[in-house]
Amino acid sequence: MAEPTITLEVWRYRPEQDTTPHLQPYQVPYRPHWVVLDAQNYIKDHLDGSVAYRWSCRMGVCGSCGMTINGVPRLSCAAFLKEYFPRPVRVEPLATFPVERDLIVDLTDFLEKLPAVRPWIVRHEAGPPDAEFRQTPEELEAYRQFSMCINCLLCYAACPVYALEPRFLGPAVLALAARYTLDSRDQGRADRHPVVAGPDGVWDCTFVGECTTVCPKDVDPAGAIQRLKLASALDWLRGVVLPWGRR
Amino acid sequence: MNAGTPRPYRRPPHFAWWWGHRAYTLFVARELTSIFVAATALVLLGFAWTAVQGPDAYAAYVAVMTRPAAAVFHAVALVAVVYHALTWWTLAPRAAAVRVDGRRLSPRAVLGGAYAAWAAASAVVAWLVLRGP
Repeated sequence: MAEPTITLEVWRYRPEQDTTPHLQPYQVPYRPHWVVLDAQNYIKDHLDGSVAYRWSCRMGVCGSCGMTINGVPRLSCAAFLKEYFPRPVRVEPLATFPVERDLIVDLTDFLEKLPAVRPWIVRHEAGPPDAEFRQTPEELEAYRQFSMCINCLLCYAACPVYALEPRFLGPAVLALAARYTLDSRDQGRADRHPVVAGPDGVWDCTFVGECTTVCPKDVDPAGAIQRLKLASALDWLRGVVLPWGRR
Repeated sequence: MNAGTPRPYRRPPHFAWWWGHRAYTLFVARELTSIFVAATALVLLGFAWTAVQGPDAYAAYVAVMTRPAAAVFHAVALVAVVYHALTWWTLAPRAAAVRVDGRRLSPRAVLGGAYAAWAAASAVVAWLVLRGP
């Protein structure tokens, strides 16, 4: 019996020859244990070597293979063909980012915004510590969830605010700001405040919540942003009610 | 054509981006209900304002607010405000990480607390309004 097949409709854009993108269909073998990335690799190896896309680890760790699969931002290494079979699978680049070629998007905007929130442990004492910083399990738990981000940027593709207001720092950058601000070893909260609570920061977020829905690592960027909003509002309130207590 | 020149393709956002995706549609519906929340607040402020002006002004305002068109508005506004309030509370546990005894309260507990506070506040308001002169 002939092996069943499934159609992959792949978004194609080759800047040297296309002015607008188009969908190109490919028939690939349907194997229930295959993910969309396996089907893409089959196309690359057997049908059309010119299709361009990013991937690396194949196990949801590297964050390279973020794509829009049937309209939803997903990691192509974690989207099984059996979820779609026998319907066709439409594979498009991540929404909201400029497309370099086919499924490859330009992430420069994210990479330029990321350092603005100082995504590292900020210490104001001079020199390295004499011993390791100790943390209780509770202190670790305060930020652990937000440290799971793999920078796959599915959250940016799902965020309509970022699509409409590209200046917005966006979910992953702000989740990382929360990750370090909630870390008991960090002293950089005041340094991050002007950016986090600034015009392109948390207050741009309207809490659509789709960033959290699509996150493959359960980071909950939407929750992180709301908590930063709360902290920022309390800081402001303290400054108004207790101006002498402002730090 | 400049072969080899990088020419990223930018997809313009669709004006109806919120249509056809359930989560986005519900979100925009929620945002639109804000208009009714604001309108309801203004209507209630109108009662307070005319009450200060005197009994005649208040009676005239009540007469306007009990017309059929106003009743339709109140009915629509009630649905919108309840939808807004319910979705607001649903979002609350994700915004507030409430810790008791070192442990984070479950979303269900935060939500339960929010509804309990809402019910208590409503009961106080109902008592104030209904207790009579």
